[in-house]
Amino acid sequence: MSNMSEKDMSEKDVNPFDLPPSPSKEMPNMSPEKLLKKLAFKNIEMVPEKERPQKILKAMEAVLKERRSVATYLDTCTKCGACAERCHFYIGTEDPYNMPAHRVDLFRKVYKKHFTIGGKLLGSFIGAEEMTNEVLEEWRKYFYSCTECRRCSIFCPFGIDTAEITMAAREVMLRVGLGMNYVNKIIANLYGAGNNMGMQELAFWNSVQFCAEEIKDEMGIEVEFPGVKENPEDKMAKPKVGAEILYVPPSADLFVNVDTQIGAMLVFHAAGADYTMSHSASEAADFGIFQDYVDLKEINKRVVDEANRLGVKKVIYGECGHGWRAAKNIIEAWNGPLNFKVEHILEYTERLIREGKIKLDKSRVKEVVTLHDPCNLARGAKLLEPQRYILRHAATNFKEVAPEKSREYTFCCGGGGGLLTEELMDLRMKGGKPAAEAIRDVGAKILAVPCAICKAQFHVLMPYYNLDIEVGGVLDIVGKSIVIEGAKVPEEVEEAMAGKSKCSLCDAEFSSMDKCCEHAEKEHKISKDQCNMACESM
Amino acid sequence: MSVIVTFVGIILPYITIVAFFGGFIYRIKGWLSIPVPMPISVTYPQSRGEQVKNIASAILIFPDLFRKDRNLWFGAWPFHVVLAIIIIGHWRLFMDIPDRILMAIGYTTQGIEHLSSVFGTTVGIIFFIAVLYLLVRRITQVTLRNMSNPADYFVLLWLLGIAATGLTMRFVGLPYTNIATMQNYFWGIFTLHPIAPPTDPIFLTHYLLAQLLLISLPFSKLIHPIGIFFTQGIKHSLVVQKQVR
Repeated sequence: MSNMSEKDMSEKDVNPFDLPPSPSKEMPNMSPEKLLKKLAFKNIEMVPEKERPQKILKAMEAVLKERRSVATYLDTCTKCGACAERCHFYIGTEDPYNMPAHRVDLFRKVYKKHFTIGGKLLGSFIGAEEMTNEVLEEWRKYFYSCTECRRCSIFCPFGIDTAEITMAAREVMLRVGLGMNYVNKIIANLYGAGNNMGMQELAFWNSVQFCAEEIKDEMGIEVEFPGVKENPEDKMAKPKVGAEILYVPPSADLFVNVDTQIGAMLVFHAAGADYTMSHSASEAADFGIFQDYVDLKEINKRVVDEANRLGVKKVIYGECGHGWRAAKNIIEAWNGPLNFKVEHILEYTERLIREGKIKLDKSRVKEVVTLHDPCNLARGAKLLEPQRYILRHAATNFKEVAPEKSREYTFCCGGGGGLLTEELMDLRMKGGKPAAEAIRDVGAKILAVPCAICKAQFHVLMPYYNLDIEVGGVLDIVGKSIVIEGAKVPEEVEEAMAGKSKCSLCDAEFSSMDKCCEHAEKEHKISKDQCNMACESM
Repeated sequence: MSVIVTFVGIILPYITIVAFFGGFIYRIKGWLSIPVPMPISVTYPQSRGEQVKNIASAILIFPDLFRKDRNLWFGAWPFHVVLAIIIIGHWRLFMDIPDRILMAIGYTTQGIEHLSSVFGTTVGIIFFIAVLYLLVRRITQVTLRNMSNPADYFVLLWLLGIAATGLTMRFVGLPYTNIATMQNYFWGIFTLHPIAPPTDPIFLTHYLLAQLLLISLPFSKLIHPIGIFFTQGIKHSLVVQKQVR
């Protein structure tokens, strides 16, 4: 975690939720060299500018030899243009290089020049170009403005996946030290603290405890703590060895999207599941997929190792988009054979509803609810039906986004692919426009998104396009409508908002939530859309 | 025989055969030698019958493209269909199997000639128009123009050239459209006893352009009909069709 929170914690044992969010701002400012050293691929170095083109070609050769997708995609594209107006970044920026085939062409021209017979013979006539530092600059700009969402691949008559080329190009650039600062920081966080948010073990268990207490306050029931404490008063806990299920949430659920974590805990409670959580597997996300296969495998392996150590029969992944895509596609092939089953929390919840093991009262959620299909669930892992089944049972008024913009045709939120950083805010907002418009057209009050990155992006995107839509996970809504014996029905959100509130950072009291938010913005620099992190209703 | 005729008619055909078949084997072997570390598994479970049906329809009518980019489909689908018909039509120049099949179902020699001239010419014109459509599309659409390099236009112009020379022969009705002459010539090539080809300049141009196209085919983007089996194109057709139903 950041310096600030570590200091605070040692001084007066502060709950991590009381601290302002926006982890990207809090991350320690390391030099790029130092960051690179922290990645799994330890032999990355900052190559001096003069040697870069040469080194890039070597790295390209390696990538071309190790992944069939790269060469076949580069060779097969006829540049027919079917992908042109399908990319959210092209729609949003109208920069010709943001057209998928054109973006790939930046990579292809170098490939042609140095690795194909045609390019060597005919050169620029067939669009081949020498690798230079200028070309590298273009690569940096445009391969870091692709969210690897694969929408273009759905429209491509050949099924060519630009995301694969983006991954390859980023890995090649990383080999000369031109990785992405934000992604490197997150991966360094993961190897250091165990999760993307950089939460240390104590903070992790504190967060879980916080969620359990929230449930107790709101619903008046005691849910089972997914860990073992030597002493009930202890802050620190240990994962339960021999539990049946290991739940792996994206760490953002323990930090920002607490309602999703609460929803998951309620589902496990209602189903009477024997489950545990662990700090060593506190991250479902896998930022390795955004730039490097080595990290991808290494990060995924942590979950497998922890599941083996605990001897669980099943690993359930939380609401994370790319994490599930990574897990589904590689866990068995790269880190198998597995001694346990792997399931997504949405599949798990759907099954429980079908089997009648949990009951939902949809009359509790009356607002119009809509669903955004995260690209990695929809196109990367074909997880489409469970969330719809759940929402039909959890909300009275569930409306879908237009068919040409949902399911596998869904628009990316604009923040995936490792672009979820403040530096790229302008690009993110432009890229998120098609998705925001699609959701606006539904006229919903609540947006359910089963992906931590999408949630973070929509929290900024919705206010940016003046949309008054509440953003949360699918499990948030399950948490509202779930029927548990002896539990109080959670109060209406509006009622809670109308009452008195308190700023948890300085204990000041206010007559309304709005006033508290104003105060939080002024005093603690917390933007209004995130003020619920500081302000609590009393 | 002049040098040009000897080159185009006797030397180049052997280069073409080697480059075309050798090129394809070289490319496919090259692709197959690369491992697939992260296969993206997105297909639905389907019966073998459904799979065969979906793959066949994906190859024959491009339903995926029809749903997603109709403007392109109206150029691409007719183009590929008439291209297939033209290839079958040219088969008559190498062997008499097509003629025999047609005779078996009741065609007379005259009937076949009539079919060839009417149907073949129509198909040739459709081909020419389809390529022209694709070319105009590439020039007029800003998105496409931005990313096209000279070769992308050149391939289309090349196809236009082949179609134009082929159609000219149709209209002018040159004597060597006599099937027997051509079959003799190609038989000579295949049995390594080449005889002199017809020497008409239009024919030689047509023949030269076609051979150069075949040579470049495995090494250019024209390899896409093979590439589609290595990308996710076929897989997509399985997934999406299932979904629509």
